[in-house]
Amino acid sequence: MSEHPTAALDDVVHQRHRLGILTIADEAGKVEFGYLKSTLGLTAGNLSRHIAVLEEAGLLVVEKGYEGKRPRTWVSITAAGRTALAEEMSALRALLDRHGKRG
Amino acid sequence: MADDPAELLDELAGLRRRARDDRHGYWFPLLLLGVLSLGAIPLTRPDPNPTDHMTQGDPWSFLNPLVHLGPRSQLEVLHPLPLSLYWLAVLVVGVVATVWWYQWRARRVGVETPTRTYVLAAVFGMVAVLFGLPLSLTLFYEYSPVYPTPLVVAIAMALLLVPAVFALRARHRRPLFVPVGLLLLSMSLSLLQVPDVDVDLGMGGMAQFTVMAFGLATLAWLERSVLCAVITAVFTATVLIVNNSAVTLPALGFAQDVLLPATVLVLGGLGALAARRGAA
Repeated sequence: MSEHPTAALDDVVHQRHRLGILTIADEAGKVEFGYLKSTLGLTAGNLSRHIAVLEEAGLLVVEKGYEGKRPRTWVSITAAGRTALAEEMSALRALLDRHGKRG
Repeated sequence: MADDPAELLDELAGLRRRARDDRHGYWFPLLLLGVLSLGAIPLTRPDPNPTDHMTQGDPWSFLNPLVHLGPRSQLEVLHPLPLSLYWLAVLVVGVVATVWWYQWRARRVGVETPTRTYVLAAVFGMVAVLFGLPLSLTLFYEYSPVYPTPLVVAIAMALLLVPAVFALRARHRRPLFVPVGLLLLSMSLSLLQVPDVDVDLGMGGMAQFTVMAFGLATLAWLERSVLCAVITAVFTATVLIVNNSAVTLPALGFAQDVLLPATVLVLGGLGALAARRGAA
């Protein structure tokens, strides 16, 4: 019997907001902290914690800088991040297929 | 998190669509290239004494890097050199301004379209037009030991493509090998121009539009935009029709070669801007 699709879900990635961050970062070259905050509807502290987890896992790169006097934080996805996101999406689709077949 | 995988996948697809819509900015390069192209029209005045410019019997005449930029009958316009230099400036300004535009937009919107691949495609197009085509046409028209039949061309293209692929995939000394690979690739593609194959991609003049079409196709792919791809396809078809058409409209002179592709770009840019404002 084949392994259950939930076995392929990664604890670091398998969280709604972290998946959202990775999806947006995968779509763009770089994405700004404020854009992620408003698009995902998160508080700054909550978003920072999710980004820190993903950065620590090597899935995101964070660049901090200034535009004039205004601090700006840019986030970009790494190759490992793209792979993790693709694997998570495959696992979710497999889970959906399995539920569909049983339903 | 959402318990239902279908709901979660839909939510993620929605986020991706939103980020994609937010980063779209292709209306600007379309409009810019269209307007700059229309700016070439005053330089396309025909020469009343075209024989003044003729240089015959020079085996290296094909090696002029600017020979493919300009109207199809370059030697018959009044100011061929300023016109070629203008087109070169249009291509360079087009790339620099497009990169600046996407970076400026990223700072305003917060989400960036990566432009590195676009720059590489544009540089490849320029290397092809300025160096690859002149070099391969010189070798084939002046020094080829055999007549370039379609079979000879196919073999020559393959012989150029193999080292080009190796050079482009080189892991070491890439700053040296990548330009060499691009040069070989463009030389290979330029062989489609020989009389027995006779596919004019703009190598008999007007190659600036082929470079633009290549750059815009790359941009459409980077933007993942169907509308940008459709506009680029219409523009490319227009360029191919103009390049391969024997129809002449005396009232327009050489401007007829510029007018149609430039109009497609301007209308495409304005249409894309209107679609964006309508969606906002």
